[in-house]
Amino acid sequence: MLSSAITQYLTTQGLQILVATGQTLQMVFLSVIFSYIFGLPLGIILVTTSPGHILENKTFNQILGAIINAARSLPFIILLVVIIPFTRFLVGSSIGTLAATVPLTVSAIPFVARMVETSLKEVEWGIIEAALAMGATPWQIISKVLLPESLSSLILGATITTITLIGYSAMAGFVGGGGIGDLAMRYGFYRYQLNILLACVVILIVMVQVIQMLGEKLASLVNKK
Amino acid sequence: MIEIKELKKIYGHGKNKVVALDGIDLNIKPGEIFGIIGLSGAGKSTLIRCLNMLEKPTKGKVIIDGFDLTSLSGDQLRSVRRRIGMIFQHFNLLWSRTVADNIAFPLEIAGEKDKGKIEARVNELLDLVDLSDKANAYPAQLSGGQKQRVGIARALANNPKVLLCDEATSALDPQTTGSILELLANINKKLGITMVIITHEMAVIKAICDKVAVIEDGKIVESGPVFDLFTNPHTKTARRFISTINSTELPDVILERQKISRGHSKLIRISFIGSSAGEPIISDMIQKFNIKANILYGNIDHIKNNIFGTLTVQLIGADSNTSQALTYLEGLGLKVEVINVE
Repeated sequence: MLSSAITQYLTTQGLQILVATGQTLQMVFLSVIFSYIFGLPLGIILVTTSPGHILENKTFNQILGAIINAARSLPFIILLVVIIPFTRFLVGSSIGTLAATVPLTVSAIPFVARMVETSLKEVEWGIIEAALAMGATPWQIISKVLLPESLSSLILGATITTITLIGYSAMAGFVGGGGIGDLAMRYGFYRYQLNILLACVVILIVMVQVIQMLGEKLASLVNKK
Repeated sequence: MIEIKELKKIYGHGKNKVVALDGIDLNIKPGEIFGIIGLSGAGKSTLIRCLNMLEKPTKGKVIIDGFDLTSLSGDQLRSVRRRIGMIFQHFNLLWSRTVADNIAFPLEIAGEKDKGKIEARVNELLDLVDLSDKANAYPAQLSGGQKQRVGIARALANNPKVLLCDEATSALDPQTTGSILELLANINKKLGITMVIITHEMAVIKAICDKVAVIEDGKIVESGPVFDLFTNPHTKTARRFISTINSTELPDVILERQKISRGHSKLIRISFIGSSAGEPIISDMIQKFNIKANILYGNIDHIKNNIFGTLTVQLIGADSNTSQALTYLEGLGLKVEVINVE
C-alpha cells in the first residue's frame, strides 16, 4: 500500500517535471529561432552600415544602434507585462507557453543583433577588401564572405543566446508559461519541496551543459581557421 | 594600359587633413611590370588602392584599359573590377573555403553558374601555380608561399588584363619571395598581363620590374627604367633604396686611413655600364699616368642581362697625375666620382 502511494507520488511528480522540461525546451527553441529570424538581419545591418563598411550609413546606423540599446536596457520582467497586448494580438492569448515565447523572443532580438554584430566584426577587413576588388556586390559579400567566415563565431553566439534564454524562461511562470524554472519556484521554493527543487536544478544544469558542449563541438567543426 | 592623371587623395578635413597622394602622374604600358617603391607612409598602398577604387581618389583620373574608373559607379565599377586582379600582403584568403573553392570564388562573383566550367578553370589555375595536390586543403594548412600562390591563382581566375600586387612578398621569407616573383614573371611572360607591384624592397624591383617609380610623401620623385635607376639615380631616396641591396659605402676604417694619407692620394668611385666592364681600363691608366691604384671595393651586377657595377679605387701619386687619370677615365665615358673624406 505504502509503496504504491510513493510510486504514485513519484509518478505524478515525475510527470510534472517531464511536462515542465518539454515546456522549457519549446519556449527556448521557438524563441531562439524567432529571435534569429529578426536578430540576424539586424546584426548584419548594424555591421554593414557602420562607418567605412560596405553599406556605410552613419545616421541610420546610429539610430538603429540607439533603438537596440533602448530595447536591451528594458528589464525582462517589465517587458513581459508591457507587451501583453501585443502578445494577445499575436497568439490570441497572454497566458501559456506559447504566449511566453513572445516576450522571450522580443527581449532576445536586440541581444542577438549585438551577438551577430560582434561575430561579423571579427571577419578581417582584408578579406572583404579582396572581395570588393573582385567586383563583389554587397549581397555577395554578406552571403559569401561575412556569414560563412564568421559561422563558427555565430554558432558560439547562438549557444550563449540559448543558455541565456533558458535562464529568462524561468520568469515565464508569471504569464503561465510553465517550464522547469517555474516548477522549481512553485514547488521547490513556495512549497518548500526540496526534492523537486533539486531535480529541477539538476535538469537545468544538464541542459546548459549539453547545449554548451554541442555548441562548442559544432563551432570547432566548422572552424577552418 | 593604365593612365594616372594628377591623382590626389586627401584624408580628413581642416586641421586633421592628411595629404596621402599629392598629384601622381603615371603611364603604364600593356604587358609592363611596373614597380612602385616607397617607405611605409609614402602613400604607395593608397596609390594602388586608388587604381581599383578601393580608395576613392579626391581628385584626378585613373584610366585602365580605356575605362575612367573615377567616373564609374555601382555595377559598371564592379564589372571593370572583375578584369583587374589583386593580390595582397596578407593573402586575404577565405578561411572557410578550400583552396579550390577560394579560386572558384571570383568566378562565382562574376556570375558563373556552370559547375563544370568552374571546376575546369580552377584545375587549370591550380596547375599554373603548381598547387594541384592542395586543391582540398584549407588556407590554414598552407605555408605563406602556398597561400600567396592561391592568391595569385584567384586573382587570375577571371582572365584580368591587369594584376595589382600590394606588398605581395613582404610577409614571406627571401627564398619564398624569390619563387613567388619567378611565378609572377612567368605569368607576365605567358599571359602578357600588365602588373603593378607595390613594395618597399628594392630586391623585388630589381628581380622582375621593367620600370619603377619612387614615391615619397605622396609624390613620384623619380621614375623610369629600372636599369637607369640603378645606374644613375637622381634622388637621395632612390640612392638609399639602391644601397639596401648594392652597398657602395666604404667601411669607416678605410675612410680614416684615407684622411691620414690624403696628401698624395685620391679616393674615387668609378661606375661602369655594359661593354666597358670588359676592358682593362685600370691597368691602362696605371701605365699611362705613372700612378698606383689600390682597389678597395668593387661589385658587379646585372638587370635583365645588362651589366653594371662600381669600383672604388685609391689612386696614389702626384696630384697632377691623378687629375689627368680622372680626365682619362671620364673621357672613356665612365662616371667618376671623387669621394670626399671630410
